[in-house]
Amino acid sequence: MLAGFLQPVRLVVSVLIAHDSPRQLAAGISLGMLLGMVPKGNLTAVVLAGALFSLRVNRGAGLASAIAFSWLGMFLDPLAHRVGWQILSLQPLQHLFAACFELPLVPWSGLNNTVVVGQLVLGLYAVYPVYRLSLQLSQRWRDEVAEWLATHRPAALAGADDASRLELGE
Amino acid sequence: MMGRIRWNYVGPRLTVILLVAATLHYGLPPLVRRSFTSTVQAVIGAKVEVGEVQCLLPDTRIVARNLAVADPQEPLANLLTADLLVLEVEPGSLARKRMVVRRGLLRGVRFGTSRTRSGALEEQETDTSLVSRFASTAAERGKEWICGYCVDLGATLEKDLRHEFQSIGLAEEMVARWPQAYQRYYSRVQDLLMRGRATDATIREARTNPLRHLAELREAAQEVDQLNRDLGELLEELDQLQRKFASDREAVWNAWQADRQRLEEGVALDEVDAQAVSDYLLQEEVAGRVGTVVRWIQRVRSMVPSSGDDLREPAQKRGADVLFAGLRRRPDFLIRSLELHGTARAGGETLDVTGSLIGLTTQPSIYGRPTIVKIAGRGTGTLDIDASFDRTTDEPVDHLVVRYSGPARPPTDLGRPEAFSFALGEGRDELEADLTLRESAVEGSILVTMHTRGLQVSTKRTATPRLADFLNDSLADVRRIETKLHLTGSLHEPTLRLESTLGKQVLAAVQSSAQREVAARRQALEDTLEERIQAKLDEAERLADNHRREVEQRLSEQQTTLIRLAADTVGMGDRPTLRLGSGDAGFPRRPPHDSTFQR
Repeated sequence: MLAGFLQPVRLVVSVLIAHDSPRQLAAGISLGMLLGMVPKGNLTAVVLAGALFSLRVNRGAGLASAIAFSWLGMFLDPLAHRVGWQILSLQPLQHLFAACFELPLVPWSGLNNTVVVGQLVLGLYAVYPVYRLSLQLSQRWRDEVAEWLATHRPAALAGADDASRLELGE
Repeated sequence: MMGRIRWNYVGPRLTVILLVAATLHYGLPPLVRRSFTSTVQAVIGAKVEVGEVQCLLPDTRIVARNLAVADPQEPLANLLTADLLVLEVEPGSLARKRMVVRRGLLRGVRFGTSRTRSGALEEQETDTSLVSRFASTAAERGKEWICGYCVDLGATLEKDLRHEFQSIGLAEEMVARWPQAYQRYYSRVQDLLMRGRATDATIREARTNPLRHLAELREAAQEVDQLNRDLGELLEELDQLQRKFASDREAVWNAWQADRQRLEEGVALDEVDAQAVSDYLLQEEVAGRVGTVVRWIQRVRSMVPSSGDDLREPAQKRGADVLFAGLRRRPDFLIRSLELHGTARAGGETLDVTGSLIGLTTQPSIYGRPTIVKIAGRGTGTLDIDASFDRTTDEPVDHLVVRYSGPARPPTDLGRPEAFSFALGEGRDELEADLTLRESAVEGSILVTMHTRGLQVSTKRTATPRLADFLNDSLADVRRIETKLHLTGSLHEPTLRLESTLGKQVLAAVQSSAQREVAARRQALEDTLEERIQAKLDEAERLADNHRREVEQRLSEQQTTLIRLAADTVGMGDRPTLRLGSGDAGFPRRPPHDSTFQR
C-alpha cells in the first residue's frame, strides 16, 4: 500500500534527474515555458504539447515549466494583446493572413487571436534566454541536487534501482 | 504467416491506429452531443435533450435519436420531439472550425408534446396568455341591441313608441299640464274671493257710522266695481280654458290617427353598427382561432434565433479575434437544408406533416440570407405555413403566411347563451393569415371563412316563439361568413379589429323579424295604445272637472257677495255694473268628430 503512494514520488524523482542531460533539461524548460504562455484550447497549444512529448527533452521539466508559466502568462495578457494586435493588424499581411485562414485546420490554431499570437511571440522571444539560463542553472546545481537526492531519504524512497541510475559526477 | 510480419514495426503503429479509431468511436459522440446540445440550446433558448448519438465518419454523418427540444414559451411542453435526426456535415467545414450541414433529415417529428420536467434554461416568467380577449364596448352595444329586439321586444317597442308615437306623449302631457293650469286659475279666484270678503268687512264697519266713514264707503264702492270687472275677466278666461281643453283633446285624436298610419308602415328600430353585432357574436370564436394561429407562429419562430444579433462570444475568452481584411466571414453553424417528417395536432385532429427548413444558422447577419420555413400538413384538414425569418439586420423582419382548412366542424354557438346566441350549422372553416412581424410587433390580417348550412336561434329567450321562427327563416340562407381580423400591436397581446359579413346578415335578419313581429302584433298594439290614450284623456278630464267644479263654486260665491256689496253701496257712487258668467260652463266630454274612442 505504501508503495502505491510512493509511486508518483518515484516517478517525479526519476523524471527530474534520470536520463537527461542539462541541455535536455533546459530545452524542456524553455519548451514548457512556450506551452504554458500560449492559451490552451487551440491547435497551437496542441502542437507545442506534441513537440514537448515528441522531442528528446525533459518532459517533467517541461510540464512543470508549462504549469508555472501558465500562471505567469495570465499577468502578461494585456501586453500580449497589444503585441498580437500590432502583428495581426499589419496591413501588408492582411491578405496573407486571410489566405492562410482559408486553409483547412488553420482556423483551429487560434492564430487570429491577439493573446495567442502575442503570448507566442513573447514566448519565442524568451525561449533562448530561458534556455541559456536554465542550462547554466542545471549545469551548476544538477550534480549537487542529484547527490543530495542520492544520499537522503527521497532517493531511498525512489528505490535502489533508481538511485543506481543517478549520473553522479558524470 | 505470422512469423513473416515485422511486429516490432507493425505492432506499435497498429496500436496507435486502433487507439485513434477507438478514441474517435467512443470519444467523438459525447463531444458531438455536447456541442450539438449547447448550440441548439443557444439558438432556441430552451433545453435540448438527445438520446443516442452516432458519428459515421466515412460519410461525415451525425445520427441522433430521441431528440426533444423544449418550448421556450411553455417550459412544460416540447417545441418538438423527433425519433431520428440525420445531419450530413460538409467535411471541409469542420477543418475550418465551422459546422455546415449540407442536408439534414428530421423524422418522426411531433409538435407540442408534454414534458414532465421544465425545459426552461433559467427562471423566467411564463406568459401563458397568448391572446387577451379583445374587450369591446361595441360588442356590449351589439349584445344589448340584439337582446333588446329578440328577448325584450315588448319593452323595447314600448320605449320606441314613446319616442315615435306622439299621441301618447300628448295625452300624458295633458294629464300633467291641465291640473296645473286649473290650479293657477283657482288661485286667482281665491284671491278675488278674499278681496271681496275684505271689502264686505269694510262696508259693514262703515255702515255703523256712514258719515264718519264716508271715504271708506266710496273706496269700497270703487273696489266693488273693480271686483266686478275682475270677475268678468275670470269668467272669460274660464271660457277660454274650456275651449283650449277641447282643442287639446282634438289634437291628441289627430295625433293618434297619424300614429296609426305609422304603425301600419312599421316601427323604426334603433340604429346600431353592424360591427357591434359582429363583435358580440364572434369575439370568443375568433379569439380562440387567433390564439391557435399565434401559437403556431411562436412555435415556428422559436426554431430560429430570436434576434438579429448573433450569438455572443463567451465572456471568459482571452484577447480578441481579428477579422482579416479580405477574409470572407462564414457562419460557424449552418444548416443549409433540413427536411421534416412527422405529425402535428391542429383543429382537433392529427395531421401528417412534411416540411423544410432552409438556411438555419446561429449567425444570420454573417450568412446574409433569411431562414425559410415551409410546413405542409395533410389529414382531413390541410395546413400550409410559409415563413421567412430575416434576421440579417438589426431589425428582424418575419413574414408568415398560414393557410388552414379544417375538418368538418360541428354546430357551434355564436354569442353568449345567457344573453342571446345563434347556432352556426355544421360546415368547414378556412383560415388564411398573412402577418409581418418586426421584433415583437405584429401587423397583418387573418381571414376566417366559415362555411355553414345556416344560422339558427339557439336560445329559448326570444320574446315569442313566432319571433324565433322569423329569425330562423331570415338566417336559414346564410351559407358563408367571412371575417377579417386586423392585427396590430404586440404578438403576445395584439389589438384586434374585426370586420365580418355576419353583422350585416344578423342585423338585417333581426330588423326584418322584429318588423314582422310588430306587424303581427299591430292590432293588439293598436288596441293597447288606444286604451292607454283613452285612459290618459279620461284622467285629464277627471282632474279638469274636479278643478272646474271648485272654480265654479267659488265664482258663484263671489257673485253672491258682489250682489250684496252692490246693494250696500247704492248711492255711494256710480252703480256698479254687475256682469255675471256667460252661462253654463259645462265641458264637452267627447271630441266633436267621429272618434276612434267611441265604442
